[in-house]
Amino acid sequence: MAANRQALNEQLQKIVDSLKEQGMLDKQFGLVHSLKESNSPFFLAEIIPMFCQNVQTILRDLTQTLDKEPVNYYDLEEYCIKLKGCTSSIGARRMALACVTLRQASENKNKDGCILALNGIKHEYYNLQSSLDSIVQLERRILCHNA
Amino acid sequence: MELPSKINNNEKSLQQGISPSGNGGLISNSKLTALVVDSDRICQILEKAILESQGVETQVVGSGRDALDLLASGATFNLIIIAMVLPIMNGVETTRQIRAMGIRSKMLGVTACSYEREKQAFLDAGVDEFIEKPLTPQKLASIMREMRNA
Repeated sequence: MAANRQALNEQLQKIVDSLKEQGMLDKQFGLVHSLKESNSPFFLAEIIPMFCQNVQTILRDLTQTLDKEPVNYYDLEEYCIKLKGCTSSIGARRMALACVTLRQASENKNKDGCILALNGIKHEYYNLQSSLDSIVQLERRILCHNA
Repeated sequence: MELPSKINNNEKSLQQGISPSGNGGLISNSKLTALVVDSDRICQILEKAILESQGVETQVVGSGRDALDLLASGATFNLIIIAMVLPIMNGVETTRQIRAMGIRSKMLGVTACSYEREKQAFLDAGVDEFIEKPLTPQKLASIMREMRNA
């Protein structure tokens, strides 16, 4: 049982390390992972799905804002800042960096630039999402072994 | 696979701006206390978790109005962490109004995308320090030391 748990932990760490090497996650994710020690063993398994839901909501809001004429660049910037906040807080490094590009395009009121930048953010998110799903699945299996 | 949820049990408390420890907004005087003012759910949860991992009893509200109402009700905090982007009343204006109430708690302004002008606006409004998200124990270290030594 302990050997299985260790194997699962190693598998999870391997995924995280690979994502860090690719620049998709940074050390903030390690901090988030470590918070389960002081918070709840279910912390990571719960916050990642919440993060994904949060991102999807903000991406929808960004898309809808860009679809309207005229574009409300003030709202666009606020959604962008919100997205950068939650992505940087979870450690989703490339997503957070992509938000900087969107903000710059929004400041310049460059609609085409905003669309390109938003597509870039979506691309980073879709790349990260399946790995995050794997992390959650592994974390849940680890929790079942611990129970 | 359904797992018991500690985060979700705290959700209602978070949204009501009351401590999940169940004392209805009254904070124990034996620990450092903090108020997180942030409208983003993930930032709320993570900032609260980071502060609590440092031994700080933390409440969360999602807007400047909720922060002002809580403070006006008599709740006191050693530290107020306030995001720049908030619904209706932004973090800068909320800070101004908190200081206008005579509240002298340590205030930390946070934002994800900081330009110099935004940092200055936050400082001018009355925050003691300004940091760029994400919040980390390292970024909190000097503030925590100051509060513990006070």
